Amino acid sequence: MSKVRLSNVSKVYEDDILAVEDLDLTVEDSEFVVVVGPSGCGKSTTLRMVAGLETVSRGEISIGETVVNDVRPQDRNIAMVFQSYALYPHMSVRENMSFGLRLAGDDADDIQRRVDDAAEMLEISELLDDYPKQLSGGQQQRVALGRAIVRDPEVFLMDEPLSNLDAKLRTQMRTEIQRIQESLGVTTIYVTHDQTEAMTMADRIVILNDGKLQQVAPPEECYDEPNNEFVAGFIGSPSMNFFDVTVTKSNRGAHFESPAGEFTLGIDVPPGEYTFGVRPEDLTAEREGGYIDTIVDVVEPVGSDNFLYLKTTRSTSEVIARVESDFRPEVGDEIALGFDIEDIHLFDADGERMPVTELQMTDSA
Amino acid sequence: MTMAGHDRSGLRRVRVYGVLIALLGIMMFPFYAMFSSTFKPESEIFSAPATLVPSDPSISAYLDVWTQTDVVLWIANSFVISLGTVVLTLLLAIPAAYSCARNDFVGKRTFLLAVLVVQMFAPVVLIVGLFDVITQFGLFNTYLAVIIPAAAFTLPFNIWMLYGYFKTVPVALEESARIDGASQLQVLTKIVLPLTKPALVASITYTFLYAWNRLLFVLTFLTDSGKYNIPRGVFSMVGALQTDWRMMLTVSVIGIIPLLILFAFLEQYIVAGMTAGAVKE
Repeated sequence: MSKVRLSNVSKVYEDDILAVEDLDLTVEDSEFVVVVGPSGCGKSTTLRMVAGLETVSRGEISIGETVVNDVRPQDRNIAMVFQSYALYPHMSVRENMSFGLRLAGDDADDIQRRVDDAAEMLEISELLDDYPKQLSGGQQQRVALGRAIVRDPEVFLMDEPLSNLDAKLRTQMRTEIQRIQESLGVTTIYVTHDQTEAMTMADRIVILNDGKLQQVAPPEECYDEPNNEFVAGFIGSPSMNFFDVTVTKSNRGAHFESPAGEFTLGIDVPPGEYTFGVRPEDLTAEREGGYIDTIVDVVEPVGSDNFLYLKTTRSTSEVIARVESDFRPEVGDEIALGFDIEDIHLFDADGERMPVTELQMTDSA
Repeated sequence: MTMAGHDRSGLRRVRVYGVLIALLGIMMFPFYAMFSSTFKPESEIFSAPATLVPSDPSISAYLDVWTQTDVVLWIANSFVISLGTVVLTLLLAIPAAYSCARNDFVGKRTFLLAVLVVQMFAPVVLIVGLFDVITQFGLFNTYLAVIIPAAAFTLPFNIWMLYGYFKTVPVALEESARIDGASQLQVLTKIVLPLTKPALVASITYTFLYAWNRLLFVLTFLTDSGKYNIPRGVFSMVGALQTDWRMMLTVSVIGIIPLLILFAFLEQYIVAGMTAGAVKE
């Protein structure tokens, strides 16, 4: 298994379209890294550059100790699982899985043993003589994984491998892929646009936007301490609530004035214009006090929780709150929302995270 | 559906089948006339009014043709020329079509249009120029003198058909094969070509038929009677003073049989190949 290193990697397409810009990333040996971001953020391009399917415009990619910029895909000792599975339709499952080994001229008995072992691991032994068109989506996905596993590669590359599966199967395969990766210990780069996949599977998440690296950190860190407004909004579902605020000094700390409400918090923040963020799950409905006065617009029960879509009384900005399932207000009810100081996020004019230091005094509305 | 609806749909079907059967009859009649004439005596072939069914059927022409003509040699030569043309055409058309389908390069559109323009010239227009080229290269009276021009005239259709078909093969399959360790040539031979079998079969059939029926090139570039193909052999039976039409028609019928066998085997692929990519599935 190998470390993968991207040093100042950029990809510029014709017409000067910059898909990836100065990406610096090291994926450690045996690590499971998930690259996530919205459509067109450069995540698949990054993966394809590591695979050798796209050329690198600037910078250097190395696998292990070898710089692979000019190494052909077939010589990089990688395996890739495609979004479309890319199974060879004219070959049986066994032939699909053994294709790479046969090309490498491996011993026939060895090939059979490795294919059988991988098939057993993925519970597809009974499908080995079937053809891809005879398989369900989930089975095709397992075959695609099997084809990657049998080659015993240095690195697994996975390009949105679960996006064609239904929700239930996706959850099941998520666990399966994690189990396989852990047992084989193969360095894995996994691309997805689904932040739930990123949060549940990754050792570390790489978040890209517009071809630029936003944050590389373990999932909890991306959630709790987002580097910037983009990461804060991208990670978490429903997304974080944002308000533009003006902060002035007050003898009790910092006074916030925003279209959503006006309140004073016992924190130390320099006066200025900021974006204030608080996650829906960190908002609480207060019987008395609270910071933001709202009116219930829509109540969306999802079983374990209720999502409340609220309008602020002051400016009709939309706020989403995630509350316990036994709290189900009526549409039109007035609710004051509160939050703990440690759950708030502040971003400066450039969208970068501001440190929030709590003062040793009480806060009030 | 109502009773009236059933009647209308039944009537429509009768009309459609009527038209189709009539068209089939018109197209097949010359073949029937040729086939039935091989069983007639020479005198009955030109009798007026013409007879549809031989009055005194005889298979003597089919017995005589093996001893009185070189039909076996002509069929063998037709095979050599046709197979040679197929091989040469595919060797050129596959790489040309594949590289156009998979790569963007300066002049690609011009190249594809230029290829199409070649198809617009009738062979007879170019025959004098071709004669010059063939003799200059010392190919006169060789099979290549027919194979090369025949391949040149079948290339445009083949390049365009294969180009369209290659584009339907998902790029991810080729990328997957490359990552699996396949070279560019292995990607083509182990992934792309097996997946485009219907188009290849259609291409082979079209080229084989074209070369099989070539008379002009053989007439112009081959004077050695030992290299005559079926059409040239039939043509050689036209005498200045006398022509044995019964034997000529018999050789023609025999010359069609290999093509019928080929079609019977490949028909299922040909239909798929001709219509592939026509609609989004």
